[in-house]
Amino acid sequence: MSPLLDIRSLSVTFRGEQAVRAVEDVSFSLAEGEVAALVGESGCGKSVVAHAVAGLLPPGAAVSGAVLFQGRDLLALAEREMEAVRGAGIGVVFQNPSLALNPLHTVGRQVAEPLRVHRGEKKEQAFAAACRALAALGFADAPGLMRLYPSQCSGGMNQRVVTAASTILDPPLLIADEPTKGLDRDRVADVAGELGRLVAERGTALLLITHDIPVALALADRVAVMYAGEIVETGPAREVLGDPAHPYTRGLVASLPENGFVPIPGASPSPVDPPAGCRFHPRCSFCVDRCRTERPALAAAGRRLVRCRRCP
Amino acid sequence: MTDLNRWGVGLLAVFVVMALVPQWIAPYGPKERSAPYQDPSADHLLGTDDIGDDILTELIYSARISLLIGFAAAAVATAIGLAIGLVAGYCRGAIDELLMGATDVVLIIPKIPLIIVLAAFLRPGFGLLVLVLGFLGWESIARIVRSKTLQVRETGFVMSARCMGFSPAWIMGSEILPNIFQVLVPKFMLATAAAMISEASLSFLGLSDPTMKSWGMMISFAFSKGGFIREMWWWYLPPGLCITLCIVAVAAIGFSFGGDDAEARIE
Amino acid sequence: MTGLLAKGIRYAVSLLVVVVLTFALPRAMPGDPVMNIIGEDVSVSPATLDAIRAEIGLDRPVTEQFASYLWSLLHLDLGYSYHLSAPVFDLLVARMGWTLLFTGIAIVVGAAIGILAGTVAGWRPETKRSRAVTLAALAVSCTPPYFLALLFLSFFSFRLGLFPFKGLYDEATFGSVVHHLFLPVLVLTLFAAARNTLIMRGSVVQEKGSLYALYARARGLSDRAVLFGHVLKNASLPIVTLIALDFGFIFSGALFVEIVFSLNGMGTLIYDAVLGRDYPLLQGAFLVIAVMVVCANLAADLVYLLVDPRIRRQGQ
Repeated sequence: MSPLLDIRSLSVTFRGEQAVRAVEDVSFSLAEGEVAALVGESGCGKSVVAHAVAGLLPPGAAVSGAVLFQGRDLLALAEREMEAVRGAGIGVVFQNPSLALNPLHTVGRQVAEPLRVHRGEKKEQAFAAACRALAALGFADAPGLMRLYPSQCSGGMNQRVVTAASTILDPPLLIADEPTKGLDRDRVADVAGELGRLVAERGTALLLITHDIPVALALADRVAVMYAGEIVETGPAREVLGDPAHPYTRGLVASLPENGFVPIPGASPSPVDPPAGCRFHPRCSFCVDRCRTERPALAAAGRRLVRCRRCP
Repeated sequence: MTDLNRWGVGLLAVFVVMALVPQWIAPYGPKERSAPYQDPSADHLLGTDDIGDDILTELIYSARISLLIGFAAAAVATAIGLAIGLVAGYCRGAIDELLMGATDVVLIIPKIPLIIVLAAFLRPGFGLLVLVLGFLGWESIARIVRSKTLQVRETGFVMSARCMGFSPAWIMGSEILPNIFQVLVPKFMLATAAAMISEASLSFLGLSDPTMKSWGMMISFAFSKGGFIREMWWWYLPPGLCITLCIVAVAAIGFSFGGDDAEARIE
Repeated sequence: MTGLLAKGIRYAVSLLVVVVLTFALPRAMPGDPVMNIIGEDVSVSPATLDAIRAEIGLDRPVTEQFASYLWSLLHLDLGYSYHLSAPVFDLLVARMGWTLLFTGIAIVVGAAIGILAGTVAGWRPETKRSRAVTLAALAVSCTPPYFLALLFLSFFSFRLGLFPFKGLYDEATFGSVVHHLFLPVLVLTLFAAARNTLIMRGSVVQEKGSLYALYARARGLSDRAVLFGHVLKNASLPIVTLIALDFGFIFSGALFVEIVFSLNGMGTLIYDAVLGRDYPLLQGAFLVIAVMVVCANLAADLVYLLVDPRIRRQGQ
């Protein structure tokens, strides 16, 4: 069976005064109902992958490769056709829900909007459905909430409002872009639990974009670790994050508080002018001469793929 | 918009040359007279005015006052706005409230009517006019300097300078000022444009010093001394175009420097 | 509510500054304050002059003078124009109707045009059409309104003979008034529209990059729906306050346009007062305009309160 989402050698370059190669040759797939995570530090290109899948990149971005969704290449679709996919086929949840909602429209209107745009539903009908969707997410007073503006709601309420709006059309794929960024520990657990419950109940596939390794570990079946625009290691979440192979993944896991907060030396490379050879070599303690000149390919190691010459 | 910037600089350069060395370009001296109300001819490309001055010569000599008043008034406005914005943004708290309150107060007072009243009483010469225009044009500069200062003061290098015990004046001058320079340049250009429009309006009403011949005054004379009724478009059109082009050039430079936001407008 | 109160205080202080200025100017200027107060080039008998001197009471303490000045202002007594032999307030009230009429039309129509043109220019700023709109708006907003008026008058009235070149009407019919007012209103509208276009353009450029616009697209809204359903309303909000701040500027522009088109509004009244150094009239006009500007700002604050739920909530 072909996967729900199949990203094939996706590259994204932002043209400008200097070309920024944000994503390079990323391949990744997602089966129906599967939960997978793209993890990495900010600036590694994981959000760019998400935006490329949803067709939300700014006009200055040059995209190559293919993004097959239900067998259709999204990159080849006209803008009109892509509009029909967004919301109905692919839902997106952004970080910072309070900014993602229009401050001048009521919550109800924004949750009901996809129904009206995609299905041409009447206002009363759409609002009734939106109200049920909010109630399903645990809001006791959904009709009252519908009339509020985002500025009258807490961040947590807005988070659930955005989730409701993004899933109201029951899209087979949900992309969550850093849903837990900037939240305190308790809230992170709430949000992650909610997302997990939602996709499990509905059988929605979830592409989770996060820098938060415990969240990825808790939710995802599979993960791909990204560094400087490339995937450096991918495979089952427990294996990759529990027993990392690539030196970068090891560093990432070692820098977690529960593992002793050991930081990776050095800083992420500039995306304008990435290092030659292995992109991680300037920060890598296992680096040998060949790493400085030859770019390693993703190589199979058991059930995972690793982009490192020194790894078995 | 870099082409806008290039055009602006090129155009402004032409006017600056006119202002600096009119004697090299103008066909006649500023005091030479011939028959009044002449049509354009080979001798007088733009004809002559009511007292027989060559209009092209007047046009070239007028650039100096128009530009000088614009830039000098903008310099005064920038100096005031910078001082108020820096202090408000750096000190915050009550001082900030007070200074920004004062800024709002000045912002609301209608400028052109006030300038008219002041000019009618003061009959300003060059210096006074520059001061009046400058004192009435600093509010938006103060606002942007303040918001930028608020940002910059939280950055690491300012924090460390504070920890090292440098005086506030030193920090404002040598740490913060260089960082707000990039927002100051466009604001300065827009303030220049605004002052030039005000000057042109005042001299149209005959309220500026009659010895300071500017483009606005040329239009004023064309309007009041029969040039307009006689349809002598070569009299009132060129100075008007010069005003517009010169202000567009100045404002275009301001806009293209990154003042491209809701704040960037001519007050 | 506290925000509105702070604004109210600022408006009150603004008005106070204006009143202090009009009080202090004639007294602080060199020369005889009485002459400064009544204006130059007027012929009044020495007896009247003495009567005025006694009434102003220059020998009394300044605070007392100011109190009585305020008192008369509160009774709408803005002084007396010795040039026109009439109370300043009556003169201004008689003339400002026309000026307010065409300032009002220009502001409303100019805002509509400016919001539309600015949206076009800001949504796709890199296209040729957007650049042309921006450049045109920049050029018009950099032109002194009186020069724009002169251009239109000489072209459409003198050259093409399409419109009358002076006055408000030949006969007091609606058609005649429209015919006379068309050009001046057009000039002023263009001027207001150009300023609003530039502001709206910047606002749209800013808003279209915001997260809610991206999220609206992510829910499957078309570009057009994102623009008109989401960005337009948010981007027009700052316009509301800026229009109010612009009121004084457009009104001033109206004064100049009136002078060029010889319309009997406040502009020509002020022009004559400038030429004749009729100080009481000038000061009175300044006071009245300042009050109108403050009222416009207050109105804008109230409108803002109605349309922006964020502020509305703070007010509760």
